[in-house]
Amino acid sequence: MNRPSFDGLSQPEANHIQLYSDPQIFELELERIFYSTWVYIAHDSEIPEVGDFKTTFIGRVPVVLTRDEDRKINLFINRCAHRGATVCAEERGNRRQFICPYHAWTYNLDGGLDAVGLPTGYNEGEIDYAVLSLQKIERWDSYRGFIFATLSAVARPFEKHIGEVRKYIDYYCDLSPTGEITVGTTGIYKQKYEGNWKIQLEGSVEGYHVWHTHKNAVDVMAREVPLMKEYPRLPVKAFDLGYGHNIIENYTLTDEQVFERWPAEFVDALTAAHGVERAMNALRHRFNLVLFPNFALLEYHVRVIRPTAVDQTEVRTYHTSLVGAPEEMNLRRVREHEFFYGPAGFGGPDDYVIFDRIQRGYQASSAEWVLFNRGYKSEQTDPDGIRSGQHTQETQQRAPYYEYRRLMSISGDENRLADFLPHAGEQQEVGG
Amino acid sequence: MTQQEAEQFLFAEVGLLDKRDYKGWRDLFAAEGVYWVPVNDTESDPQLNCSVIYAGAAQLDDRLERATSSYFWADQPAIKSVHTVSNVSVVAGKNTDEITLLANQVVYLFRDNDQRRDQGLEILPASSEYRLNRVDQCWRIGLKKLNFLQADGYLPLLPAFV
Repeated sequence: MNRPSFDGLSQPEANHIQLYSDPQIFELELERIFYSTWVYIAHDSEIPEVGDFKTTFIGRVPVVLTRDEDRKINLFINRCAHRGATVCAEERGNRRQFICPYHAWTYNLDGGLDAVGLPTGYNEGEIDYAVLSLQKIERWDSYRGFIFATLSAVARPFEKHIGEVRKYIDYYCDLSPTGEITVGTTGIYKQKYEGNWKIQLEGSVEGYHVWHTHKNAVDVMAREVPLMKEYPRLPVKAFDLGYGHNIIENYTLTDEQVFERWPAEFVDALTAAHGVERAMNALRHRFNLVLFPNFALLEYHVRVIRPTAVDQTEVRTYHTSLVGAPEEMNLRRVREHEFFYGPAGFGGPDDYVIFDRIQRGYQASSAEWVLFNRGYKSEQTDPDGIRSGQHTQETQQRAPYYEYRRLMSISGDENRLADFLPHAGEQQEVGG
Repeated sequence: MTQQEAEQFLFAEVGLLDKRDYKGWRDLFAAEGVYWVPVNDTESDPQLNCSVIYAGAAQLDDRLERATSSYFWADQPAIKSVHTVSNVSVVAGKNTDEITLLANQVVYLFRDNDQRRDQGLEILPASSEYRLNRVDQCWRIGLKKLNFLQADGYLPLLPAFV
């Protein structure tokens, strides 16, 4: 592909605004990121029964997820094998077959072609039912119900891809006495903003803005939880987990604090279900987790980021509920989630209006750089290569771009920043 | 409550929102009053499912604080509104001190004086349900429920009260 060099446009301490405003780079991102690596699709609690389906997208590609008669999950491209109409128009529902509205090509829940309209019009050899199924997405996998897929045959193995992230997903799900959660069955906020998708990716682990942007929400919350006011000074950290994944801790409780925070009966129930270590880990850790490129897991919800144009992004917020937890605990998760998020929440709308303003600012081509250098010099790297910093610093927001540069084949070595950030240093790249 | 009284009540109620007289609007609520804007399925149970807004007295007061906060960035510049109310019907309540009003509404939202200059007009049609309780000779809101047509679709950023 003949293209201008993008080398140097993404560096550990800053991104060039072209990454957020250039439609050509956006197309390349769909190709090299969304169609090349693992992306989040859905949670299996969204299709619990035989015949349940959900439609969603991988980048621009429409996909359908079904649970078939054998209770197996199938994932295929929502496109009739004949002329290409989507075979399912709804976002969710339950049915036994998908019938194309154009010529009645009829597909089973496993995607296989069952029948076509007016079959006698086809001569011998013109139609092969075994071949003309819905196109299956072969590479999908799941961890604790979270389903990821890739359109690429060469993306790294899923096990490797989510390696470091698994323990955090365990902490999250183990807060349920049965170890199960539901995703989205108790509410989905559907929003979009006029800005690049990476602004939300960065914004999902933003420890620096909370005290200022969300002062209104923090003031209200602090009446019940005075600790909220101390957020910028809490002794918590953020980590680069590799492959673009990253995490910011919101709080990590001591054993003593666990018993102050949670009713003793709940601690006991969780300990009985999972054993002390797993239970305490679940009770202790609150965090925002990002799996590059389109998934974030926050205290009460799963966030799914879908880029629709270089300056337009859809974000869906799937509320999570704990299977087997006391009713009042799940009710509290509902009230606290809706307090902050959604189109009339006390926090989320302020972020989205800022994302929109960021994109306006990026129209200034003379002001080239978007900075991520906060805490770069003091960043720690442990023997396993995991980088970490204080939570209001920007280690977690630098993290996606190591993977981004690798997938996009953008070299960060060429230092174009020297005039602007005289002390910009070089950082060792981690490979895939 | 006559048809005309019902309409006058609703016109006055949404008029306070359009004037951004949020204190006056909040004072229309009975002590146990609930303000509810559901999301997704408008018939779902708000004790099991998230809403756009589910506010009792304490949350109404918190929202009043938000409405006037200088940190309410989504409302800068301010989101102005026009409400129209139609298809009003009066349904008798359990006793003479309770009544239910059903009405359709269209909420128009616009943020003017914005540097972007191209802010779209947001149009939010809704059905609505009010349960009114007579308190000291005055009708107070026991429930205002606003069911947006787009409850399961994209909703724009909203003012503190809508």
